[in-house]
Amino acid sequence: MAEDATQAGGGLVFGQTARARDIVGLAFANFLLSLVSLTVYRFWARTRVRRYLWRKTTIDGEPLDYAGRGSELLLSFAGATVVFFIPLAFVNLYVGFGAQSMQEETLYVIAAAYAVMTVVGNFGVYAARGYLLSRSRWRGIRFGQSGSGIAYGLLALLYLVLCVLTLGLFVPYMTARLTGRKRRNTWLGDRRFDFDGKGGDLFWPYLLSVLASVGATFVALQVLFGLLTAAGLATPEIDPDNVVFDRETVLFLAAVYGTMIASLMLGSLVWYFYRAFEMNYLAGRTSLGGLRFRLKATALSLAWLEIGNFFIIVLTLTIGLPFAQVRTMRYVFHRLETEGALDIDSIGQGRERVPFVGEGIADGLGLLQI
Amino acid sequence: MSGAILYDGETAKARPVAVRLVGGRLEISAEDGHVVAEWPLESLVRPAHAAAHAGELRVGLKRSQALLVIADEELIAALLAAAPQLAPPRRTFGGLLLKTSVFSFLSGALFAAVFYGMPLVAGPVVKIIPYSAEERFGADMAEVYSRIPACEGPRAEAGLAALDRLVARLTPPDWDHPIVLRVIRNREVNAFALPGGHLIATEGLLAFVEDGDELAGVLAHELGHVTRRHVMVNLVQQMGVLVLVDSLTGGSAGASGAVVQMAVTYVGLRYTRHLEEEADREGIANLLRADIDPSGIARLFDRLEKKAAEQRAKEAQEAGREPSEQKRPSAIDDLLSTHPYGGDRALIAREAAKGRTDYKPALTADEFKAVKAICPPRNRRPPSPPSEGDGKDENPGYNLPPRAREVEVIRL
Repeated sequence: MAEDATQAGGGLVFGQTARARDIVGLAFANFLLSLVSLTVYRFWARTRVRRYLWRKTTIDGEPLDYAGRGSELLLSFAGATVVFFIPLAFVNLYVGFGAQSMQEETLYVIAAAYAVMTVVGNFGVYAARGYLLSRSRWRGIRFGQSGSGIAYGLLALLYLVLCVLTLGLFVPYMTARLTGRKRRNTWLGDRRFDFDGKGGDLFWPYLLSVLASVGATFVALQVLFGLLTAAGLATPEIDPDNVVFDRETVLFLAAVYGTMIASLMLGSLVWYFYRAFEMNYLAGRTSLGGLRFRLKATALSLAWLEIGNFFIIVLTLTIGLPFAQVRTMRYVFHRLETEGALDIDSIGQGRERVPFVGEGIADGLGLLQI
Repeated sequence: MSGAILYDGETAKARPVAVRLVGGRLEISAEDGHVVAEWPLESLVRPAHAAAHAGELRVGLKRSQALLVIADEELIAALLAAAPQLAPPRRTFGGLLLKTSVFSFLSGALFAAVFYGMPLVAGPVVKIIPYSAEERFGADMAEVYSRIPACEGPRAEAGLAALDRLVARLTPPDWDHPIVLRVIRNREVNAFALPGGHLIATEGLLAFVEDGDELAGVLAHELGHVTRRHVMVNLVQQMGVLVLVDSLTGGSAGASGAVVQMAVTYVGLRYTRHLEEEADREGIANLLRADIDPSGIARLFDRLEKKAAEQRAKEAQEAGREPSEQKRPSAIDDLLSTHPYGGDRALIAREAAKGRTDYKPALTADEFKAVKAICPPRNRRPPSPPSEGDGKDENPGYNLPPRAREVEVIRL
């Protein structure tokens, strides 16, 4: 029964029992129906996958409930199309015709368009998150999100500008602030989550990791090119006006591209160390009442997860997207723990107004991940 | 009595309760026996996680966040029988088939609406765009093409003047916007129209035509594009469909979206062919109005088709395949090409040419000679070996980019 899993001391225990083989049929059905419906079916497809993933996730033995409906997503999409995407199309048309002449006013319009898209995109992500939270329940208690999506979008734009102006040094601060804003506006019933992370804690690891990644890429390039030269593959005669695709040239091109790709991969592997650190830090700074969260992601396991997901999605031509989502959910919840105590019994039902829609913008822009 | 858990939807507290199925309702009582709640059967709902744990049934209540977790097998069976809405949804293959058919039908209707509707919309939308805007747009596009060297100069003047006269003769009398013709140095046999009345013909076209009537046919066709503002219509139509499909499939997870985009591209190609057919009709009308024999363009189509067939046979031979006997391109080629099959176009032109004997030649013999002289012959040199040379262009006079020289490419 439900209480058996309650940790002594009031902490929470997470469980995740989703399996890819459970949803093979679902994945195919979703793909088929999405295809014949010109992808309109995607709203119901997404809902069914979420229902499965949620009920396979347990907190203290009690599964999560997903109460969202495909029709809500369809409605949200329709609304977003009328209010945003159709006007956007007209702007695109104008920019498309004007771009040919590269007049000054067109450049301003394009810059303004990028700014607007940043705000709208982030707003969409915030609103979609709010929808997802409001349709999730545990023990009958709704999750929720407060706060203004527009404010979030504008803030994101401001931070983006700061990142550009500081040549990227502001990025860890932006991450901490945006994450904090989202999490401090997250609720379980009438309990608010809290976040006390600071960008400053992330700054040096971030900087070191950037340098290490770039350095690793660079070193790999040098080493591999050195090997190539030693093997005699590095300097064939090529006249750019008279390219002849003989065996030597092809080998050379393959070696060059292979080296570049391998170096980039090594660089990103180094970057996974930072990503795991960042994830764990952000989780560790999140709390609910007297409960603090703890995540135990590692660089290698994270790389395995993401690279594996990438290949799954690509090799199945995206039919296998739900499998990747299963892997991600399992990864997170198998590594999530809590410290401290939470008085579960006193959590009351949320009184926030439940948003009617919320995913239209994010869906239309392709920003949804689950 | 069965040990169940009630979450009342007001707090997260788990409350051990006893549940009985009585009359038309679920009677929920606390441990001390007093009834805590009564849920009518018709108000019960099946939440998404109803069957999350084997041996347990989770039941919800309409317009409430309350949740009941029942573990007694007998009770669950009885409840499922009494309240069928709590049973798991049966997903059958037949059901999938039905859903597939319904969605196919609906999306087919949507597709047809876009396919037939967009051309209807594109025309009126272009009429709203003032011609001055189109001229400006076309001037910008022409700017790009002006980087390609043109056939100009004192020796080309006579020929270009003859062409301008021919164009004026072919232009419909009610078209009062300027038409600007340019001949570019390009070996392809081609001619096209840009928005705003810009016509571009290639050196290759001038070399390929065998008389003035053939050339007039090509110019008349391009004028058809100009006077019907086809380039703009096509642009609006393509952008419109692209935008619609992009927002429709915006959130789709890849593969199905990609297939939809491909279908849309096909639609775009089909519509371009419809415009080409319209330009053919306009072209023939322009020729007849100018008293020029349409058989000329028919001859050109035939020769172009023959050349294309020869090219296909050559490619087939090089690839080791048997050159197919058919003269028509395969269904796939036909599908993909933006122009209708040349043989059909020739047929239509010949039909239109019948019935009149008072045709006048498009160009006089002198004029035709002048036209042929517009683009001076190039210096043809054999391909230079790769190791030689310092990259400097050794072609005197015209400063062609190195690509203009003949280049041998050995396919892998």
